[in-house]
Amino acid sequence: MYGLIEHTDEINRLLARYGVKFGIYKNNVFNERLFPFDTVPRILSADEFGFLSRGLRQRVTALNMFLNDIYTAKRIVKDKVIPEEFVYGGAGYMMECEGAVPPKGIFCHISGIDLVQGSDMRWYVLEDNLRIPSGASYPMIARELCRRASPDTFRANSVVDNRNYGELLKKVLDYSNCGGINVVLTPGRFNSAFFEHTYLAEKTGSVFAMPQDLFVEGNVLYYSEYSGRRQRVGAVYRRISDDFLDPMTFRADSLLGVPHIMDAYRAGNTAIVNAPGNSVADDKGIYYYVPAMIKYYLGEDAILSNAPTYLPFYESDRKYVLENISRLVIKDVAESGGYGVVFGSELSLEQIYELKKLISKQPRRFIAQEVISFNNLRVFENGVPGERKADLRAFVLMGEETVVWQSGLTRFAKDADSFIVNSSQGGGFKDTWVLSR
Amino acid sequence: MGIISIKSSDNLFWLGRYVERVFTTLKAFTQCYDKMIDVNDDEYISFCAKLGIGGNYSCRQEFISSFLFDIDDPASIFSSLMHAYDNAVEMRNEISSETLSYLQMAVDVMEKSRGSTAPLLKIQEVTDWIFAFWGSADDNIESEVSRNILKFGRSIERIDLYTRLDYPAELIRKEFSIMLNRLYKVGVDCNANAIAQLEKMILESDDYRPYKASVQNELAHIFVTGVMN
Repeated sequence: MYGLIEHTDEINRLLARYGVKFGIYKNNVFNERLFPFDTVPRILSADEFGFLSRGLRQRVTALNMFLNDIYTAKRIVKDKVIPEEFVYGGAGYMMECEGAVPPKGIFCHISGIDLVQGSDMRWYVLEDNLRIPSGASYPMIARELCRRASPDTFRANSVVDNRNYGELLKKVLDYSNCGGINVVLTPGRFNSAFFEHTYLAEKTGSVFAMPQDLFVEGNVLYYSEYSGRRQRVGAVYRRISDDFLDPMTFRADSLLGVPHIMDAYRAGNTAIVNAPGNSVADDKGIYYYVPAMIKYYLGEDAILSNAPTYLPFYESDRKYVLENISRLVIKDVAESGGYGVVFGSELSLEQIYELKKLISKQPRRFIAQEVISFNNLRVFENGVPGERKADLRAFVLMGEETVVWQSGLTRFAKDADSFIVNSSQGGGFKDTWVLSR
Repeated sequence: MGIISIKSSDNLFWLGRYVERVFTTLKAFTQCYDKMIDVNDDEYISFCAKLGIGGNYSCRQEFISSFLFDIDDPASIFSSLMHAYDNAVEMRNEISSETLSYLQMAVDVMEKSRGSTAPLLKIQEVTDWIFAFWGSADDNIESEVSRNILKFGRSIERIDLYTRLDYPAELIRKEFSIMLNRLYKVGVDCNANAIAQLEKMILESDDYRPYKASVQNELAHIFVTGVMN
């Protein structure tokens, strides 16, 4: 391991060379930042990964069944497993997707499930990201450089190679493809994950497309070539959110979308990866119901636990949250990227009073969770060892079969006392090793 | 790969042009810099006039720092390099991460050289990375069409700059012949009238200089799908 640590600066320099960056808007100015890499990996034993893998596959399978159900028969609502208002009252439900079943019934092609490990070594799911989860490219490229920096480290440890993410993703795209080429659709240069869009296009051998390169004719999606020819598109790995995807269906003022792409999708002529409408399933409120969802669709107990969560929507939960707010973490369900997360312990009395008022007034808008005591990970900052809170984003890919990528993005907080691990908040990342034995 | 859109062809074309602009102007700047040491303090004024960049620099020192490093000066080498980078970054999957990385390193060198007391020593590396960029492009760009559009952009920019800098007619003829070769390989509609005019002015006349402005004008109109990026 020391062979890796001593090359931390060089590896970070090489990451900069390959343009491993993410974009961030602050005060309306776009800046690109390097994503600091810590060479000490998170290590998962084969058994531990096997457990996580089973739990993740189970969870994503149920979430995919939920999406198929909610936009068609709605059995889970009719059977009152999830309250109706929780599904249709949230911002995540998209009426425009009613009745639209994606090719092969796959909604969740790529799921990014955020987990944390508690100090009791138990894993908890913190969040399901089923829309456009990003981040797989970072550990993939970091691994490549780490192997160059310290081959002995890898020779001495049985680390499963994670550089196959591009191939796994290509398989998913090929399986859903309705006939034609695969494209990676980016909203453009100033998207925060633009590096990843271009990198994954390269690694999957897909055509990289800007919205203006695509058009729909006769419910078929085409890519317009410079020579005047057109190529039929069978699968679009879009990195544009639903709201902006098709101005004819969603936001009419979107300049980023492809007009009528939803018509091509509804006609079964192209797969949209991930499928539109997934936001109803990764809503922070719906998260609460995932264990019940697993029981309902699969008849199994959830393998992975949720963090202990309360919904102020329910009177008993609301009472508990209001009484214990100073030791809970409160999340605004409409926010993401580490925004809209407040720790009760960090609030002044006045702020607590205001938050309580808001929760009482808009209970559906919030969830509350117990603060999990993290199992901190070792980091080296300027050569000095320290500890940070860290999460793990595991990637689950659903194609002909559902597989968990044998790696993941481990993100750690910028400061020792911070719980916020999002890159947009200044944190860094680690590689995630899965041992083969 | 090789399936590219109008926008991508444009990115490749302008990537080739901007990389060449950095390379050739850097070379020309070095010669101008040398003359300013002991021949003519104001050499930069005629240098700017030749390039058609106005030359609103108050003194030699301001010219040196702005022309090299001022990213907000559209004539500067750094600005051209960033335009090259902006086009390249959208074409990663076509040109490869490896090829893109050489431009990234050139950008890094420019950024680090800004405060140097001997900037010309530092930015020699920019030239090195550009050579590496072209080598990598040859090696890693799978599609012949993409490679040719990129190099077509380079040829256009080279001829444009060579004519501005009054390079010998023989050299312009050679570059023009290379450019024609590429143009036919690109396989896109091009402005046949512009080519005919250029052939007359460059290949059929003894010296292009009397037609310099017309040559530059026709060069700007050859790549008909291209728009300024």
